[in-house]
Amino acid sequence: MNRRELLMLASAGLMLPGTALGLGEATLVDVAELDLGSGTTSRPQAWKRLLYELIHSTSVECRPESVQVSLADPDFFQHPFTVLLGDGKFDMPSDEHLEQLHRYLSYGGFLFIDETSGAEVSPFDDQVRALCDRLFPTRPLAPLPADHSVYRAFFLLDRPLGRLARHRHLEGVTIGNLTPLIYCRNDLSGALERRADGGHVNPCTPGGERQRREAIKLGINLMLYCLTANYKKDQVHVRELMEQNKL
Amino acid sequence: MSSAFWLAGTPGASGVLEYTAPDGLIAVAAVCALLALALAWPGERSLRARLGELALWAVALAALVFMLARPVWVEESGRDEPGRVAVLVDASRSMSMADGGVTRWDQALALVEELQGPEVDVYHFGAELAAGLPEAPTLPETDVEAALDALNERVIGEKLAGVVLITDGLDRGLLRRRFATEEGAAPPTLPGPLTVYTVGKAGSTADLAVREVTTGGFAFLRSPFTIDATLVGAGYEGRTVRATLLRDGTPVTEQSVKLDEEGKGTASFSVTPDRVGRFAYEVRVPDYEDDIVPANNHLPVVVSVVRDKVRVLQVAGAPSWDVKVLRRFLKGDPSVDLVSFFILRTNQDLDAGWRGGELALIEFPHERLFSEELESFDLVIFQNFDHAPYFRFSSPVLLEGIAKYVESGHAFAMVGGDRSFDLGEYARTPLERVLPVQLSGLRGESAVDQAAFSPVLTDEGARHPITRLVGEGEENAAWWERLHPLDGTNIVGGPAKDAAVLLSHPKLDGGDMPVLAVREVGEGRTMALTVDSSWRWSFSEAAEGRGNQAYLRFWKNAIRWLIADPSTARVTVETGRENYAAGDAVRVVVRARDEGFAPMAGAEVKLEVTGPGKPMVRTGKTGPDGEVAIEVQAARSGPHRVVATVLSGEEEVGEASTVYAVSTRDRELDEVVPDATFLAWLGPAGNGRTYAAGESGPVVRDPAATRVVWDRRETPIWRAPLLALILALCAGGAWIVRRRAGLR
Repeated sequence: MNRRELLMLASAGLMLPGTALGLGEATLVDVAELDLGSGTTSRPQAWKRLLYELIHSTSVECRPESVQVSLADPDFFQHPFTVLLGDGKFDMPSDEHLEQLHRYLSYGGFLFIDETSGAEVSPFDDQVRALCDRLFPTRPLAPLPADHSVYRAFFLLDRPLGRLARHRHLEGVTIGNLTPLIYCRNDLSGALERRADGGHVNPCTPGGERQRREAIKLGINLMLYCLTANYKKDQVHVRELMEQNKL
Repeated sequence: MSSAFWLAGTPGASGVLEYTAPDGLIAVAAVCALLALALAWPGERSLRARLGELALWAVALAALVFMLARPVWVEESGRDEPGRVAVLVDASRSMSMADGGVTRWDQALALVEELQGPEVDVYHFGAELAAGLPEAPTLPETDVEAALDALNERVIGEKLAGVVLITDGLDRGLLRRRFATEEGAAPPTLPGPLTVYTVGKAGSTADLAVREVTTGGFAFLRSPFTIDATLVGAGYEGRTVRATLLRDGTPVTEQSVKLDEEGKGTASFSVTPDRVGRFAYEVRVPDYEDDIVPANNHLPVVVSVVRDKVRVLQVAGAPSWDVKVLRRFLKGDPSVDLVSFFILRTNQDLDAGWRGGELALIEFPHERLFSEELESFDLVIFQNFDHAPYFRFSSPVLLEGIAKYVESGHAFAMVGGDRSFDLGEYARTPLERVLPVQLSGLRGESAVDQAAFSPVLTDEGARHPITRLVGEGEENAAWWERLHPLDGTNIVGGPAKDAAVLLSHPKLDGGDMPVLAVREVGEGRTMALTVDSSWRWSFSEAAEGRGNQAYLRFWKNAIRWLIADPSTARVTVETGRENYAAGDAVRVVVRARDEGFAPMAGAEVKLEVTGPGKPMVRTGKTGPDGEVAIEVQAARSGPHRVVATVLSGEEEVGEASTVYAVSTRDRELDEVVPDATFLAWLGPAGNGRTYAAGESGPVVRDPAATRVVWDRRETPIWRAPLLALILALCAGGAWIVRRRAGLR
């Protein structure tokens, strides 16, 4: 079925899939905020907004709320998508907790780090780099290439925009062909965050609402990348196969 | 009397003395002589008498020892004679062929008769050289180079006046092959110029043959491979013949092949194997009336079909942790070629306000996937996938296609979620026919149970290879008990007919509701996992520091079982090779394993071999290692199928089969047309000439070739009367001297 057909059928009210029930709440997608003490912060409304957008725009079934976890929390591994955000110097986790975080990322967990100040130099940024060095001494935090799957996971994105638009690239730690840790320095969560009355907490600069729209798309792409990893690269392969009549 | 009498001959001056008695005998005689001399010493007598007696004894005993040593006076002298001619006659079976009513062998004998003379030595050869001529040409090989090398060794250092080769040129050794394939090929250096007489004439023989079948030995599942058959038709030049490809004795396809001016042609068959295992193919050409060797009109060959990679199609109705972790496992397994399709957006998401140009989505090519491409996959996994929104009105056809795909020998797995089983509206669809669980048509909340639970390993699960995470039963059960609970389940009816429930729900349906069930349907296999949280066995286990082995082993086992990997079969049978010659012993090894896949000792094994000729039945019993080797004789030409049935008491453990091919082809009769081209080259290459069939002429000779003939003359000195006389006189003199001294 092509896209035109899909739209036509949708408008005709046909082929609605069954109501999403989930096989238990725990298996639904959610967001866990990693609490590493002072220097890190919490923006549950931002993630709630992102999860709502995810439900609204994609087939992903979510529990639209975030939870706070620490590395010592036994429930840490119940939440494969974790975020760490802040603008100050946080306490470096103990060796034991670093080992736990390393295990989490090695077995399929995903950590999105969001620097909320957007500054060129910040104590949070320094600490993030130190954390990555401790976690992956042989795999440095590096800019993600423009053809990385995170820019294609659902939306086509040119650059990572958040509340700010100062940094042109996402950075990440790549193991094999997977990137279990992605670092954004444009305050993505600042663009997503809403007040209780639904209004935006922060203006997006310099692009305003158009920039916020791009930030939402980046958030959705991050969630989709966490869930599908390099699936998009496969799709390119599949398309080639199709063009060659090999699939 | 003459000196010749006293010396037993007339020895010359230029000779050598050779002692012909054994060295041991000479040594014993010498020792005895010394003892005898020592015995003569005692006794009272004058010194003069003593010395005189001993001197005489010494001479007599020396003469005796010398005689016992059997001395021979040997004189040798050489003389030059003209060089000889070696005639080598091909005595292989191809020489028994008749061209125009006269066999090649008779033609060869007539040539030998013409060449006979005092300087001629006649040999015959096949793979080796031997003197003389046999009664009939029955040797199984022809190796011209080996024969010429053997001649070189026989006459080493000697030059021959000529070397004659009488043959039809059907050399099966390396020389002819080198001539055909290498620039500058040359025969071995010969002791004389080579004269080749060709027997047999091309054109007077009609023979159509399948000369060679090449396959590469193995092929990959569902990948086309080529079977090339080289056809040769002497007397069929320019004609079109029909070549037929058979698999396991049944014609698969046929092809018309036009033979070229040399009577050669190639039939190329493209074959796409649809299952793993060994398969016997055979290429056959018709038996025409004038074909003098119909036995070479077919050639069997066995091809092993293996998997390159397990091709898996994973279709997920939505991204989820379960989908992510399964894909991560499949993608990381180098033996899996994974094609994934995730539905990232449903029709409910279309009003989110995103423009099409913003999205990085491709169409879901469901029609193509589930019709044209389906057969290219070994395993299809529906993971929380509902067919209706995508298949729409094609659903009955596409789902029927998947059901038939399974029944024809493929694998299908359905994994739970709110788009699976009843919630995916699979009840009363063709796909339900092949599922291992029954669907009840439940809708909404009644079709799921959201309470977390730990599945229970059933008795069948405790034995089944899918749920065998570790070797020992108790340890395996302990692994299952400690795994992280699952989040909820689809509710399904009981197991389908012939399905096995490996994991069950502890509460639902009285504790009998299947959570993991498997089934063999037709030639294929299916699996149903009613949960969408098996990812917990990976991720949550890792949190406990136990790694993800349980998850990896479970899914690896599942895939191996679903694709009917031979390693998951309890009974296997194999032969050492695929292709045998008639008369070979075929060693068939049968392995049997119990439910826990431990070697099964003492099981009864019945082996049935079917093929051309009468079926054979053999029996045996497995040893402590669960194996038994049974030998059968490769007798009749053609493909043979071996079916091994293993029984434990009254219960059948399982059955397995394989194939092998037997060829009774006589290499000597594979090709019967004389190779005049090869022989035309061979004579001049050996510094001589070649006479074509029917031609005759003198042998090319080297006039400078001579040979040294050695004359040897022997004079048996030990028989010389002079020696006996010396012995008698000295012994008698000694005796007289001794008696005169008063001694005895």
